[in-house]
Amino acid sequence: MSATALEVTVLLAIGVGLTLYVLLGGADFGGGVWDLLANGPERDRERSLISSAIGPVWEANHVWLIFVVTILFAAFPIAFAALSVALYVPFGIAIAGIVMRGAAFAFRTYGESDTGWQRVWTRVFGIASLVTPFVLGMCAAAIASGRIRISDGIVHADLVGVWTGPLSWVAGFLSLAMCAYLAAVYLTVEAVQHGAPELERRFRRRALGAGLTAGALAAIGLLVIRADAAVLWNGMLEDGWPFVVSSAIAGAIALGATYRGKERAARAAAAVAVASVIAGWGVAQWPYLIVPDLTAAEAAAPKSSLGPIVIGLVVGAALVAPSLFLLFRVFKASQGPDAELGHASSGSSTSS
Amino acid sequence: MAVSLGFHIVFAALGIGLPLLLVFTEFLAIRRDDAVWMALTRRWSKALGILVAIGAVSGTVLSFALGLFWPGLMGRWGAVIGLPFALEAFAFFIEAIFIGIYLYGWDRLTPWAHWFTGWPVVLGGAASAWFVVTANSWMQSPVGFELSANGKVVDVQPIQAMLNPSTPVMTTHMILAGYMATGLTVASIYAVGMLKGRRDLYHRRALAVGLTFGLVLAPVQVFVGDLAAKLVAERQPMKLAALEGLWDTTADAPLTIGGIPLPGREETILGIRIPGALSWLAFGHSDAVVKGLKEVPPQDRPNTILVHLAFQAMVAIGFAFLGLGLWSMIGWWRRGRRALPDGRWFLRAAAVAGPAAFIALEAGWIVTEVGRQPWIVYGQMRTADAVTTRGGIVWWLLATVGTYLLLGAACSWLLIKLAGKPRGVEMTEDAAEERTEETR
Repeated sequence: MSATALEVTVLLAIGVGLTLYVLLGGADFGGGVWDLLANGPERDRERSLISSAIGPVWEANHVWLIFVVTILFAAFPIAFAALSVALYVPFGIAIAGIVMRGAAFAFRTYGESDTGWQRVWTRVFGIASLVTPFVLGMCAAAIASGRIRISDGIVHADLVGVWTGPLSWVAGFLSLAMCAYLAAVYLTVEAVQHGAPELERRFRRRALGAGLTAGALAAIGLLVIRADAAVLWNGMLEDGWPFVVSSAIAGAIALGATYRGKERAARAAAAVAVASVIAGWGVAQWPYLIVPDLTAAEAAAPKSSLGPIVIGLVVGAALVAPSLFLLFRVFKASQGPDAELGHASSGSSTSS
Repeated sequence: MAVSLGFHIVFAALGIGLPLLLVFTEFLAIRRDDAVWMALTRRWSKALGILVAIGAVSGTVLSFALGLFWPGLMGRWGAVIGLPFALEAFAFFIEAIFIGIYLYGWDRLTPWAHWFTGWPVVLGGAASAWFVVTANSWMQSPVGFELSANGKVVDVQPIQAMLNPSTPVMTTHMILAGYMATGLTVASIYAVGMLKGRRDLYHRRALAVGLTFGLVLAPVQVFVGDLAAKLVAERQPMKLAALEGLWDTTADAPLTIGGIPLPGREETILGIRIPGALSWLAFGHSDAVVKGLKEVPPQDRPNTILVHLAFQAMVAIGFAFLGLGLWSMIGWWRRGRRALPDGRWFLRAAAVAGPAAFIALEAGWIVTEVGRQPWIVYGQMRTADAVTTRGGIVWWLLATVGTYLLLGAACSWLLIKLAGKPRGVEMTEDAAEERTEETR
């Protein structure tokens, strides 16, 4: 049985949601990684740049994950249940990371500066930002690599083995590198907007480093897929390859633009490069939701459930899209150099 | 799961309630160009920043936990109750987007534009609460599907499931509870401040706003609560029996106030009984037959002690709020309708009201969830059949409790810090000073 138009529509929405989660929420995690790695005399200014970039948007960006999870669960409940059983442990680690990241960031933002707790929360924020995308990347590889087996509705997956295969390790590092890369590229733009040339230089260098790392990991990933995930490799050869190509080209353009100081072009190209990785993964594992035993059509809720979901998606998008536009317009539009970043690791909200 | 939900419910309640307080105080601040109202608004918006962050992440835990702990529930019923969760994501989007604009947009928007961005937060919060509670009310009143001959779920109608008979009353009850709990928490924080001698305008106004929000809704909530109980009487007779500690099926059933049910002896001791009152409350006439717990074998009964006590606590607190509301009104009247009472006993009562509201909130949640046991989907699926087959639940539980205790403690500590300042008696100056600092 092949997938219906309704199922494809919902799947595309999930794909868009996932892509935006990586591009936006992923960058917030990447920001946390750079926060963890901040060092030297510019450390406090780096952290306050990161805080001011993440602060207004991270909750909205985080909702993309909730969107993906709830739509998956509403439209493909069998896949959601199976993944929950199979990836019980890594999902647990990821949600712990999500909780600690968000809480630590809020506590750091609203707590008093220069206390011991402040340092603790900063550290927790950084570590959680590092662990979470890594583990989520491992989960993605587990879904694609064919290690989760399902027969007669029973999931066969041992607690640890399914998400710690070779592909999972590469995907974990790739996911982390992509988040760090996106964050460094975006933060370069933010540094330019804040008129902070020293920070701009530092994040540009980091963007180059993380971008090269991500590119190398993606190439290694292809080799591992060939050896470790036959179904996915065949999908890559048949349908996924244009995305591999577009990812490589966009990645190269992004690196060049970063090197030459065209940070806005670099931001767009970096987003295309990362989005292509996600799209290529999705297309290559089609028609499976969980390789190799569960297709989208098998996992889908009945038509009577999908119809209202699609209507909800349309209405919801009509409400959310302009709101998101407003959010990014207010906080991310270029405003010229504004308040200095020297003090206030907690952005605009240092308490009296 | 229960722990996660019990934790989340606190932040969710404050997260939907506090924005409503904020749009009110900010309106007064802008309209009257009033520094004290603005200082309150600014202060509370910081509290909101923390609360919403914790609410957002603990809510994420729940969306995963549904699958992690209840794969049986999701795999079988996901198609029926998935819709409200999907729609909730959008409501939460609106809330999260505008919370970002609201919290960080003070000096990027004009005052009135800023005030407007508070409204989507209020509405998004209420809508998320509504959607999530529809899913819970479906678990009480499962409709919107048929079972085929071999027991498969067919003919799924998710909209009908969402608008199940329990939805209107339960969603209203929950959202009102969130508003009340928020108002009374605010009131109690500032009542404590006033008891410590900080009786400035800042504290008085904060107390007045909190009490008004909390107590004006109390009579409405008692009325809605009565509707909720009637619904339970109609649809979940064993839950009603557990709420009331009623063991024998009887006409002219008495209402038991207080008392301790003893499952071993199948009787409830020490309560005050009002003859016929339960029949009358549940069905509108005193000779109506009310089913007792003995109708079903013990393994089909909920934990009667817990449910009965929780229910009694919730109702008692609800009526205490009515009393406190009357006290406030009479006091206000006697002071020429200008000020609320500020005697020590009144402030003490107000100080207790906040924690009491959360006890009532959690008790209400115990009533609805534990009262439904042993069913997870009433009459359709037992909790034991829905729970995950994975081991290690105990570790999850410990980790969850530990994490939430830590976060709860850190969060409360920060909020108390926030509430404690500014200290000055001469509020206008302090507020002005704070304003300049914060807009920097």
